[in-house]
Amino acid sequence: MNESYMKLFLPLVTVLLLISLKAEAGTLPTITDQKNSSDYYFVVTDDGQKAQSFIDNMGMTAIAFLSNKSLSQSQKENEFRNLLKDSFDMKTIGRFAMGRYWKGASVSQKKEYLKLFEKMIVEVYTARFNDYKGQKLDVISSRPDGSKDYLVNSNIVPNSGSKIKVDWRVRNTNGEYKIIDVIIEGVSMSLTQRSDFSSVIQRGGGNVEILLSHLRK
Amino acid sequence: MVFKIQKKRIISGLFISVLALFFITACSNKTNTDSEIYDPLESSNRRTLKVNDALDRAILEPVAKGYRAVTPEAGRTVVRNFLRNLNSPIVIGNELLQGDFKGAGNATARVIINTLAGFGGILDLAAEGGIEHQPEDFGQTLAKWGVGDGLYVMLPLFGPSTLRDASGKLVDSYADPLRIYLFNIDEEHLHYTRLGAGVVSQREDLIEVINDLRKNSFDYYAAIRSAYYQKRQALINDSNGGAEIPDYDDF
Repeated sequence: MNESYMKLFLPLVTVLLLISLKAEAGTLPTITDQKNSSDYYFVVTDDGQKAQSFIDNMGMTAIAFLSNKSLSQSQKENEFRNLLKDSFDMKTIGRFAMGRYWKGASVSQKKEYLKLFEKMIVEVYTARFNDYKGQKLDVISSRPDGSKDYLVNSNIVPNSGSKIKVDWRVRNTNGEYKIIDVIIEGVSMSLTQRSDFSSVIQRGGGNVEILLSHLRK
Repeated sequence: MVFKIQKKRIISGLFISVLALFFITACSNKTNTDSEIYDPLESSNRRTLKVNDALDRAILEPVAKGYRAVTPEAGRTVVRNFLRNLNSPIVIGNELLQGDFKGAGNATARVIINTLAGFGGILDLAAEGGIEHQPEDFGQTLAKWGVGDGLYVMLPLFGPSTLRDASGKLVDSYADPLRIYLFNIDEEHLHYTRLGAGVVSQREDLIEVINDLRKNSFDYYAAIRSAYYQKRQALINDSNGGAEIPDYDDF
């Protein structure tokens, strides 16, 4: 019994060791080269660089007032609200989150929806960042996606514990950069919101009014 | 002798479940939008989620919060690393089945470095050196082979899954060399201890995520379902893409 086990085990271990040695030989140089990895794998254009520094600046601004002890809680929330309104393209996100039901909504419903949506996003993100505990935002790289978008990759690094991968979809409209999606560990906030909203409307018989009544609460 | 019979059984069991999968699941590989999520069991899935959610609030969430309260972050990281290291055979096996030899090499380097230099896997030195953990399972392998998600199912106790991913999980747990070894030396209890620790550690990791989804969604079921599909898609592609968002001009 033991022998047959070893017969199976030994070649497997040998093969794995060989693979790992080869892989290590392959990966180690890129580890030491990590700082230059961006020009190694893809060309970072000026726009990509701008998108990256846009996210970087936003993070630094947020962290600056979140960790500013002389600001009161409500002052921090105010600052944060303004930063969110400046950095997010609320209209596009809201329009996307409504999905195929947008076309069926009346002009006044659309108007009210976009207003309520912005209010909700601001509240949700303010609550999320209210338990800020000194995390840092590390912007790593970016890549173009579509004709106007960049995906900016970053990590949120806590003082201890594991980091969280956050990707920002940034759109360049006439030279102005705005966030249109936040993707946390592979889960897009805009897409999840759209699924949520669509389900609410669909279960309410396709009436947009159901979603609005939820948002008004 | 006993070992041989068990091995035979496992292999034939594996073969049958893989075959069954190919017949049952549809062969579409893209699941980025909601219209492509196949959820014919929605009404019973919603009932199961209600029960799961009640059980979670009554038992698992308090246990996870208690674990967080009594164990400092450093201790929880040690537990996480150790459990991940034990899972390495499954990761390596699936990387090989996916033909991802670089991934298999990285996972092998990780287990060697962390077991030898990281005191039996409690330190993740490999990640600090730049070789990071990449979760792999047989559900992802099947997806790489072209097997579609199949229907979405909310499993009692286990939570969201698909036909493909649930079958994958079964195969992983049967084929796990560590499990086979522990069963052969009659130390089954160690296997179950490891599973239990994994459940608590993972739930602790998800405290904020689940709170956020509960609080910020109108339809928790739809939000969970969407997040599950996106997360799986990101794992299968080994990258985070998110959705394409059109450039609207009709506000």
